[in-house]
Amino acid sequence: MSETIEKIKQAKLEYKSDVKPTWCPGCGDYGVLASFIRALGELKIPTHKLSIVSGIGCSSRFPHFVRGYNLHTVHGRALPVALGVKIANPELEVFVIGGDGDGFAIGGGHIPHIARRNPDIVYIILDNAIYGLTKGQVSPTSTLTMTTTTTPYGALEPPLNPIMLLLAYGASFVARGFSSNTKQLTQLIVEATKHKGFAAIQVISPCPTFNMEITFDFVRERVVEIPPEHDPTNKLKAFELAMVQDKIYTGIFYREERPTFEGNLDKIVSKFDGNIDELLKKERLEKLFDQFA
Amino acid sequence: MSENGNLKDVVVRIGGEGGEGVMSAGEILTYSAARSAYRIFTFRTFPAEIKGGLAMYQFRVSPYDIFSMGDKLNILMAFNQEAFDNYSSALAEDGVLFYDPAECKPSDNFTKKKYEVPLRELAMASGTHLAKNMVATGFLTAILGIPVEESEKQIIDKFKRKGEKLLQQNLTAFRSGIEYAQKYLDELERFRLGKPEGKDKRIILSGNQAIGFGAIAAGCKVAVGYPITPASPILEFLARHLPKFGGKVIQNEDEISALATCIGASFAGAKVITPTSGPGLALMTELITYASMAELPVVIVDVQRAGPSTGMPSKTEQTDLYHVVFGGPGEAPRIVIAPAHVSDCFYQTVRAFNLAEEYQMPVIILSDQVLAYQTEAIPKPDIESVKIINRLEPDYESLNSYLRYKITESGLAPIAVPGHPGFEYIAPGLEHNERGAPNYTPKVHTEMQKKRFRKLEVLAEKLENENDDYYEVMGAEILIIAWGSTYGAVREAIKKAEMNGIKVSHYHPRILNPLPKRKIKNIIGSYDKVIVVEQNYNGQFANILRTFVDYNPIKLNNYGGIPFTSEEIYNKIIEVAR
Repeated sequence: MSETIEKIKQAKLEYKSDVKPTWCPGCGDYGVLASFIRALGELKIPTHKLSIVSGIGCSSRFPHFVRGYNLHTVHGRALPVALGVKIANPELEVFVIGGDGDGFAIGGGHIPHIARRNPDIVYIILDNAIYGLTKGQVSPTSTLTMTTTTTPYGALEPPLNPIMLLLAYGASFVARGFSSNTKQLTQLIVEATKHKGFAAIQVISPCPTFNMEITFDFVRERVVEIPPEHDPTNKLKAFELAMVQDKIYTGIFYREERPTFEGNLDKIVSKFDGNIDELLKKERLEKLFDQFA
Repeated sequence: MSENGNLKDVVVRIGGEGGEGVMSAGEILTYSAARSAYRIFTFRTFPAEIKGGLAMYQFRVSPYDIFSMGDKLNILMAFNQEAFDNYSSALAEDGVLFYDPAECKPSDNFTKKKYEVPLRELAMASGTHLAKNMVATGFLTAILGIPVEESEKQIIDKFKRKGEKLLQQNLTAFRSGIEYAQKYLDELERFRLGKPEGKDKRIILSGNQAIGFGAIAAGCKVAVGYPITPASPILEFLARHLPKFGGKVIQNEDEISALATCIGASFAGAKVITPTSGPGLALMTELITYASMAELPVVIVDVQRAGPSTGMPSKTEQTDLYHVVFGGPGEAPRIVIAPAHVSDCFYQTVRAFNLAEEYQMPVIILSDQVLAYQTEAIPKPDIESVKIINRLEPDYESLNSYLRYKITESGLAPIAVPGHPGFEYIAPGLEHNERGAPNYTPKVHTEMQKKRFRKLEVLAEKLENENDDYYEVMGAEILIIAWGSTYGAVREAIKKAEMNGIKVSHYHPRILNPLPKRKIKNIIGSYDKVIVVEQNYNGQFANILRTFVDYNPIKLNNYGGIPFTSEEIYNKIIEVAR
């Protein structure tokens, strides 16, 4: 036990930046940050090989709190930014961290394309089913009829199902965690990082300030670990689990091995023996010019 | 006309049904001429339908330097009636029509010189009616005096893979065209081109291709885009060729993600480019300001087309200047470069990469539809002379704590490339202190805005001492200021004015933001009259000059979607000179 505590202390020392989180007291995101740092410690990723990319939102402040070569970008665009980091330097461990609004509303158009490309990136979605940074507006995962500042008469839209979306779009690793179960979440992050391909984890991370429906108690009452007999390579079964509404399943829904996007891009470059020095580059350029004469 | 009475340059248009080989005839003629050191400009339109419809290939060829497409046709080769009906009015007064009597009957009111060329009949005699474009190629090769062996080489290259029989039929057709031309040679002597000045073999490139070449030469490693007319050929060119130089190319899901991926790749150390047009640029605007805030080098190409909104995607305009100079949330420094011609597209693209790396900010290349598709025979770019600048990186051995956004006199601080221990930093879109941590205090925001804009001031100061963009004519009282693709039409208008005794100077800045204000004031101050020529309604550059150098020039604007002719500009010079 004391060894574990020592490891956690070490990880905090190594990975925590000196910028203090700005989250409200009691926010689920603290649990995710703790799990993330523990996972980094377990994976022994050096900070200079770490790149965390985020968009905008409470959870998107994440990269300020962890040491690494990080980007805090604009609303909804973290995934394509991360894709650029990964293809330019495949040796970096790239994480995208953001919320349900950043990912499923403004950034929703990018998920299908990152999922089908399958770069080796981990995407952690901190889902609190509300807009926190802008103080309490409805989100794509808010419940139907939920009262928020922009839905004073109740939300008219049913929530979308992130796990179903990720499965349908072709994410090669799909999991769900709960911010209060840091032990399980740490392991999910470790597994997602080890997975070669696009790995998405939806983390239910309640907002105690603005979401009075999806509270810690609400989640605790419903959360159930995916039964051990579930075969995560069975996509149909994964869909079935994702469709269950009265329980919140946590764990790994689905995983498959597929070539990565950056690997496929490298193959095209290798086909032409493209990694060449300046001298050979000039020679090739001359030849290419001659094709236009 | 030159001393012997021959034309100094000839403008030829070949028109016919799409699929009749109009394009290949034009290409064989122009590539043969370029290989023989002639100067060439080409312009083509494809039929609106995928198959069929009217197509044309136009080229201007000269033994001497030329700057534009030229205004009126000297030769029209009409494959069919439709080509005659649509194009005969574009012929100059002393222009000539060549037509196939089997396909085309010139109308009675057509009074210019006309000559029959039995394209179909001669093609049939060579074995296939499909070779009528080769008859036309041979005929025009002879009339223009293009070296026959170069044209034959082109034909052999084109048909050798299609079998010996087809090759021989086409060569026979080509030769019968030459043979047929003999009877007109004396009468049409004036179209025979003189020996070209210089011997340099030329290559034929479009502006889009030249930008692609520039990116490769500059060391671009990642290109990401989304299809849009008229910028798509840049992405297509890079997709085909960049991997041979170690680069990676992606077609992303939209323009926002295209720039986003470029920014991520730039952060990771790669040189990046994203080509787009106005509507795509609009989508990128938020991220342009992020790159400016996080001080990351990116190169964006805006191949302008006629707007607003979807506008006229295949027509040209210079209307995104305000957008690229001022657009976006907040005040975000960026550099804007407008290449003037095809060869310039290559060199200015290299420069764009260098400036992005040096000044750590977005650089936008402003091209347009005409420059994008126009092809020109240019001297092969001198790769040895190309200077490459890479971003300033910190001394990774240093033990001092790294401040990515350190406030310095030049505004510049080294960029650490990921992978170096101890130099981890965050690239923030939020206002930040020297370390990159969020900070909203008035002091920090004021200091950081000054720091970011100081980089532009450093560049502007350098530009004060550069004079490449200024074509000064001693004794001139009129100055034309123009930017981008209007260069050729302006040069030729000035040449024409000079022949008529009016001296005109020309200032054609390539960098449109920042501006060397003292230099511009000095230049403007030497002239009685200053005309700003640009293709937009507002006079965007004229108004920028008014704001920054407090001068109100005469405006010459055109916004119909068709490029300026030198005639239009010449007429304005005459009007102003009066």
